[in-house]
Amino acid sequence: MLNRPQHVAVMTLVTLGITVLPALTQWSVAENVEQIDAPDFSREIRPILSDHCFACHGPDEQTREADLRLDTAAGLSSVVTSGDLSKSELLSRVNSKDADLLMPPPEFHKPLASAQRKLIELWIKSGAKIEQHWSFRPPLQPDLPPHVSKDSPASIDYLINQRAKSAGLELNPKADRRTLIRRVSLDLTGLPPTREQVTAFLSDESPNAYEHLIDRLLSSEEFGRHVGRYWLDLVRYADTHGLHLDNYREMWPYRDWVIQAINDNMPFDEFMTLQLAGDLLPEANQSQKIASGFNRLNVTTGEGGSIYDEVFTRNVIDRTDAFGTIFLGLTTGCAVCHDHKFDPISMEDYYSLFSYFNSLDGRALDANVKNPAPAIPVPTKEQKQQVGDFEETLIDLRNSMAMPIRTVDSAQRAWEQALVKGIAPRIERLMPTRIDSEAGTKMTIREDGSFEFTASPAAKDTTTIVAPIKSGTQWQTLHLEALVDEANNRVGSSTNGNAVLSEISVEITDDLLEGQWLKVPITHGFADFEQKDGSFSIRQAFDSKVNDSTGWAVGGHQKPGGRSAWFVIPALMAEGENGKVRIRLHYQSKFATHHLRRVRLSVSDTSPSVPVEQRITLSPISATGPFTVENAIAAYGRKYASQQGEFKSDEVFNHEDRPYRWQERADLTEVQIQNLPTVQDRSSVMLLHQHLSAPKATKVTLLFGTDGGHVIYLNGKQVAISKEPQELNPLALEYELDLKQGDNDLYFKVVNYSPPSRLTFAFRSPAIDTPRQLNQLLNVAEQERSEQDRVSLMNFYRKVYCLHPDWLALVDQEKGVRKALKKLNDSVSTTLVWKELAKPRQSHVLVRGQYDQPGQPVPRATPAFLPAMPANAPANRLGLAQWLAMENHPLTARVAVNRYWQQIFGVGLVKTSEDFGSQGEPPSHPELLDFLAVDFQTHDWDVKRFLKTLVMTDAYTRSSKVSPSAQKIDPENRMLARGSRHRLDAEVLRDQALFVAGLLTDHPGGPSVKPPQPDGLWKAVGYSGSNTVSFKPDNGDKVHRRSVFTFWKRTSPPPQMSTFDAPSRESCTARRERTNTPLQALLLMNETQYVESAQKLAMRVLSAAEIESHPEAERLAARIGWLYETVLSRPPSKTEQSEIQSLLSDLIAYYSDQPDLTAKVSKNADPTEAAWTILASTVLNLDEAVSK
Amino acid sequence: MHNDPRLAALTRRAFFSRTSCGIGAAALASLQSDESSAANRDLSTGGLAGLPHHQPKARRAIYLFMSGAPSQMDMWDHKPKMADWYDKDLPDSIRQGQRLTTMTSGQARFPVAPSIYKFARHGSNGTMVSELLPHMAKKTDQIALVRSMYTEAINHDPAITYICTGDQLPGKASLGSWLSYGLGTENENLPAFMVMTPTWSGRKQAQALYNRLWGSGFLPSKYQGVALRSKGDQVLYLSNPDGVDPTVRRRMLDSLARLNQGTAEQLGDPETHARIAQYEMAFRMQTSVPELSDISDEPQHVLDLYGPQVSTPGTFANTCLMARRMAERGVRFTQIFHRGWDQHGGIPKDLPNQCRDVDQPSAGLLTDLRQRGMLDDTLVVWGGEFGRTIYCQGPLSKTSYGRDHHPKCFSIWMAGGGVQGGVVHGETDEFSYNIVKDPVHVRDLNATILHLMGIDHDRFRYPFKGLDQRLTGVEECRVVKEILS
Repeated sequence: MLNRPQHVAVMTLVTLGITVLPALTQWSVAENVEQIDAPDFSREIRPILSDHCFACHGPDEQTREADLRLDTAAGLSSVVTSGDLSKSELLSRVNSKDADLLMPPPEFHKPLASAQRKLIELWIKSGAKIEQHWSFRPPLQPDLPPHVSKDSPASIDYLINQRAKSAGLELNPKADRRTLIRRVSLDLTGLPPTREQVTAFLSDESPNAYEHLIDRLLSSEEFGRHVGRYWLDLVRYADTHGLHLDNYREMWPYRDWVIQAINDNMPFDEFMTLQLAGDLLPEANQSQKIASGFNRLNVTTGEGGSIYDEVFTRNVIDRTDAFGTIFLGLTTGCAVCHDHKFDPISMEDYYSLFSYFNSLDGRALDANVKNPAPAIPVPTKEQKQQVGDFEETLIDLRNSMAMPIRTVDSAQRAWEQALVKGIAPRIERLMPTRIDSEAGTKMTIREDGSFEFTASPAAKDTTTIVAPIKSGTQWQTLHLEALVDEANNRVGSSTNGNAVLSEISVEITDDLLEGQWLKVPITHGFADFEQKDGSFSIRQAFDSKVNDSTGWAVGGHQKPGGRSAWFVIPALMAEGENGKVRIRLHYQSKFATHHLRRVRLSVSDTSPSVPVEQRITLSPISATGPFTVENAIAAYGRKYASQQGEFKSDEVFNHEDRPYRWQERADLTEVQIQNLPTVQDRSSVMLLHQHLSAPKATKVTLLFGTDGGHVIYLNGKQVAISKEPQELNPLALEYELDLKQGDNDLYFKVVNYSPPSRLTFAFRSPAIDTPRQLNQLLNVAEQERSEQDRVSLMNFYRKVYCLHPDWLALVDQEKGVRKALKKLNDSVSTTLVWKELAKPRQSHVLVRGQYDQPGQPVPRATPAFLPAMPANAPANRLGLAQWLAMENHPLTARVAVNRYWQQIFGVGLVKTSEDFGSQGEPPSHPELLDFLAVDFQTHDWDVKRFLKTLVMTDAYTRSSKVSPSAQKIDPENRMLARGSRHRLDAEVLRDQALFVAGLLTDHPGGPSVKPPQPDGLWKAVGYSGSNTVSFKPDNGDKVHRRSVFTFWKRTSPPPQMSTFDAPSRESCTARRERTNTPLQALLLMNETQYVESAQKLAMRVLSAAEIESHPEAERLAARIGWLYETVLSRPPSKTEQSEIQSLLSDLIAYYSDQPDLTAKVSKNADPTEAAWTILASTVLNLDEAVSK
Repeated sequence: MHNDPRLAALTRRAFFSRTSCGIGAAALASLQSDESSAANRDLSTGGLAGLPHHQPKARRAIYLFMSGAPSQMDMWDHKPKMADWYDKDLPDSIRQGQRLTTMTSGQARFPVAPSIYKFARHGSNGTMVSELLPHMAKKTDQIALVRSMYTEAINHDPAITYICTGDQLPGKASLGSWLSYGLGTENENLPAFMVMTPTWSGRKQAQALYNRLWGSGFLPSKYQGVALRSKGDQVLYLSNPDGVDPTVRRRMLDSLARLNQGTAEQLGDPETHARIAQYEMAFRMQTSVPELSDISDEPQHVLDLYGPQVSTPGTFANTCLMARRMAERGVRFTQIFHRGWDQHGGIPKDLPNQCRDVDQPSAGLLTDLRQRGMLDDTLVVWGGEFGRTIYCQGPLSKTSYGRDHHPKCFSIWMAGGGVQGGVVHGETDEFSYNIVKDPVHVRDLNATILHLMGIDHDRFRYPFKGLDQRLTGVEECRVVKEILS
């Protein structure tokens, strides 16, 4: 196949370069077709037919004219007779002078050039051989003459050189070593070599010096950070969702996975399989799951108003098209609405492929969160260990908490019995054995255990009593009775009969404590009377603060008679025979002698029996909603119904023009998990209301849990807010509610991100009666209760009422561990992955591509014109990956090697690396492409070996000098008679500048970072509610990491990158254009980090130790040499040396006259430093520095 | 020292004696300055061979884009009968099962919200225009009002991407980048396609914009729109860093050019010459862009045309004046994205502010262009990405209402180069819900804009991913000849 003489037509094909209508111009220059032999159908004829005829005579049945197909052998044969021009209607039609007969029709605006018509004629004359499109045939190892060495670089060179020579090109000599090391370092690691590396390479005289250099580069960590970048462009990796709000998407673990896989030299077939189907591997590990995030890289939206099915379909199309571009090099997307016009992909084929990507176990809308499900946490090793420890502890604790606990259960039984009528609580009066007055006032103890002052009390005093206490009982309530007698029926000892108990404290000792006193906390308190003026509520008596202005004031001056107070003491339990309590009553009020005259204390084993008139009553719950909201975040600040106002049961609220009313929902009871209504695929809000009627101001605890966010309002004030979607943890959150006397309006605003929405709540307060339905349950004999009721009751008791220390110890532990775990988990990164639905969705052909017009159902299948699935391959993405890796697959390896070629040589052998179909450009070297494809596959898809082969070729290592004649023959250097030369990519430019300045930090990855960018770029485009609307640059080492780690906002990509042709990462990009614009010049001269690099580079030059050793007179030249070698890997020429010197002396002179200006460039206000900074910037801006 | 005597002539003394804006000899050696001005217009560079396809009516265009979708029935599409329909349900016969956004698809009813604004007849053909647009109302004889625009997209992101790039999905080239690719530039000291994103006075929660709306998609990125900013550098990285004044920059560029010239001679890569030229253009931009934004040379009577906010950088009025200044300097396409039009609720509170932002400046721009004789060959387009519903979203009262997205009809206007003034094209039903006459698809609009710029939309193609990509896509569309002069 190589023996055939090259003809002019092929030449023009590869030399003309970018054209608007490639097929037309490629051929229009070919004059001498007569002298050439049979045109190659695949490369020369088929493209003409594809571009000019297939639209009406191609694969698309809907638009096929005259029932004629020119993309099949059968169709062509009907209009072409081999060797006979007069019997070939094709020719007579394209040559017709009659506008009605002429093909293509003039109105098609795609006339054939005369050279094209000539070619067709020649082709028919020479036999009209018909072949399948070149890229759909399996690649064949070309026959190479025996003298060609079989090692890959030599074979490649043979195939290149043959072609270049016959095109009249002279092969350039090898580039010098300095050029080589810079070129290959930039191509394999994206960084230039250091001066030391250049020196080492120059002095390595071994014949394998170049190979050693390549091996070093291939094993460098920087290799993956550079080569991975091309893949990230291709698969459209980014850090935001891309549509509408364009919120943050946490996906960087996938990026790091790519880099790691490349550094590990993962074979390409495995690389491909893990990304397409890592989740489907048996017992997929974390890394494989991360790789499956490949299928989630499409842009997504959370736009309010979106129609779910439409978005769903779009997402699947995006994934299917990505698959086509990335692995097949085909534009499958054309077949969304109609059969492909150029390639044999029918709509049925398309939707069959589509069906591999339609069964995500997750929603299509991204809810504007960073990790729309399915996502997995990606903890660091340490985090993983810690999370594991915490989780284990939690499981243990929760198991213990769900299990019978002897002491706690017996307390529950006691509580139950106490609730059920007729069973009296156990009450023990405390009989003090000791009494003390701090002020030394005489006190006495009466037979009934009460104690009193028997002398005139001091102005302030503290009474301490010690009393034995029975063991084995869980005492829950301390009852204080302030007694009066007939002679004096006011409880206080002051002249007006009033008293203030500043503080009461309880301590315990027993056999276990061996005489040590342990403080017993008081959690609640009630009094039958407390003064309303000032800080005199009962609460003040157990706030652990003793001061002279607060305390329980009993109002003895206002009302005669005794007083009672109940204190909840959850931890009062003694072990052994010597249990004792010590109780102190502090009377430290500024009001003198405000002591309780006579006090009696008792303990009981039930919750305090709050007097009926003091109980808080609860109304049934009322609910309204669900109110839809365009994004959940907006709901927190927005007002719904009467959320902060007065409750009116008959009020009607309008929302999005629908009336909403309150509904009484007696079924929404405490403790149990309640399901709230939601709106499919929308964020929504439910508002719930409850009246709490409190006879006096008091505090209650609200136990709460939702799986969305929530806001709680009490009496018009927001008292709690939780703004994150979270996993439901029933009754896990505790909020204190300060109830006022009278009616309290309590609202729960439950914000649901996406369904379901669940809620649990309950109150903890002795003043709140047990729910009515519980009393009914308690009246059922224990043995007759269902298991469910038993568990429910146990949970309720334990969560709300139980104050047993054994239980409380567990609760405290669980709460502590949970809190620590949550904190830890919040700090753990996540990444989007694929998870397949248990039952895949059925796909249908969508009529005209319309999401709401499903046609015939289609099974999962690969396009019919490509090889069949391997036998036994599963009907899923794993099977699809196996199919791609099949030995005879015509596309996978060709498409992959072409991209590597493009990466190394600047342009692919197939220039349209994204399109290998009929409309793509045919390969410049078809045999070479086949050779490489076979070579890659037979060497187990070994990427590093493959790249090494490419950079070992003569073609790669040639000088890139271009002569005028070479420029004329081959302006784009497609023949590779010279080394390729082009402008460096954005990332390489930035990394190079930081690197030569000594600023680049070596960092392995992690969350993306934000180097500085001009203010306002995000704001100019961002949705005001987006979490990426304002850009805040990072600081510290983060701003000096390699550009592959830069944060990529799709709707406003980093300008340092996009100015140099980096894509937005919204869609798959197989190759970047390379433009040359003034905006790039401005950026390189003026952008903050380039300026910083120039400054640092100048300081490096001025402080380089190796220069100090030079004699004074040579230092300047040495510095300039050092600068050149650092940036360009070579010393300057004499001309350059003197140009730089003259620039330097001009600048030093100029800056010397302008100290103010100098100070802005040089920290030390040194004109020499300033001049060197400009010099460094100049060198960084050299054409040579920005090119490879 | 130098091979080229012109380079050798550049001695130290020359460096200090030249003005800071002088152009280096080295640069002159490798490029021919092709500075142009409005007076010297025929120097288009960088366009495609064979373009324009026909004699263009407009040499440049200014697109005033109202992002978020303005309410057509409150501004341009008068529906007097709606007064009788207040709070009555939109008849099913009108809605015809039209798909709705999920923001209103759950509404129990679709009550009609008549516009509360008064309309009056203006101009020689008596075009009804809302009282919200007193200045534009006086321009009806100069504009072609199209009341029958429609699209298929019902949400912002896809819809605005559609009208700006010809496709609902990201990845395609924007209108401006197509024009810049096809027609090149008339002033190499400024980008051919410039974009501005002014402030707005309506609700703060405004819909997002996306760089893709002025991006180049599959076209080379040099065709993408360049943002002219009102804060910081007007063009990114335009300013020299601290301590680098124009003299230093000039001197640095002279050395850079000479050194690059050496590389060019040694390696023979034409890109090196191109790079030298780009650095020189960058240097010229450092003068031409600040000069562009410096409006101190505008006489008061011109400033007055644009209204009181014209002198505040970043306002719509200011960007309109900027657009005229760019047009004057040969910028091919200027697009201004004014945000804040997404009025789901509280239209009477919001809409007057938005209208005040744009009314006088838009009218002022037309007057200014006309006074300068530039309106004849400058196309001005005004419009958003879709329309709004006649039925109310949210609470409806006599004084307040909101409107949801409506793709089936909306109003835009065009004026200037090749557009016939005093024309009203297309008609909607009495609910401004369905088009009853002369529908114009977003593709038709883009085809018409291209046509006026001398381009046949069907023949204007770029091969990518196996398709001849067109701004107007693969489906049928037509130039709206009826509004052409």
